[in-house]
Amino acid sequence: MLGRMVWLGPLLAIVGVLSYFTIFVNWPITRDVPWVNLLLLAFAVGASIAGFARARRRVLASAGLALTLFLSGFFVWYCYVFSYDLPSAELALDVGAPVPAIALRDDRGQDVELSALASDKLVLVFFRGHW
Amino acid sequence: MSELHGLQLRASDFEAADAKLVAVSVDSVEQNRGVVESLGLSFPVLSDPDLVAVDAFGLRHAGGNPMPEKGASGDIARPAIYLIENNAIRWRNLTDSYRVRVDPDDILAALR
Repeated sequence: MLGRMVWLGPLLAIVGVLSYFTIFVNWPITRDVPWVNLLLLAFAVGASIAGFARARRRVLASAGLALTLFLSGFFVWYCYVFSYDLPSAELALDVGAPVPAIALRDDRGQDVELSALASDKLVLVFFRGHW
Repeated sequence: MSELHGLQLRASDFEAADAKLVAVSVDSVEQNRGVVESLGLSFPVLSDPDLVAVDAFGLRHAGGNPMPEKGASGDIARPAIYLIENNAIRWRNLTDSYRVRVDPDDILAALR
């Protein structure tokens, strides 16, 4: 039964990749180690191989298997290669350095001097932007 | 986006630790206002479109945004958290992967 459902593997693979970016990225416990998605993709590969082994429609089953393997490979590459492609940390200001004298606009359009903030304890969070 | 949301959920803990939260991105004032409103942030988000602060801290990730808006370079900040006290850097976290962010608990521990 399972083996004949050639669409099950690829469908699981699509869900396995998309649900990371739409759902599981929202919680550190499923984001930092993407275990839910890796599990879904493992089932997807298993189902696709089973589907391929038993399918009568070999062309469709092999296309499904190829899609599953491609999506799984993409996801592993994204998580463990691409997302680590950051500039060297050696260029970044280190502990002990003084705060640069810079003024930036806040979300209300007011100029804010970093050094004026930094007289207290300040947690400065650089993030990549809302895109 | 979940990073700022995660920090907002712990805003009272940062307040109790006498620490001020401030975020910085290369986005425009208007985009940042949208982020503050949609996430209900109680802390400000500063706009650094010319990467002045990003470069001063040495955090430029050239081409880090693969789909920049028209006219933008696509250069953004690598994710980083700096703890600053008495106008000097006391602690920092530069993640190895932009997918993996520091736990707010670790920042709060560094504040103690």
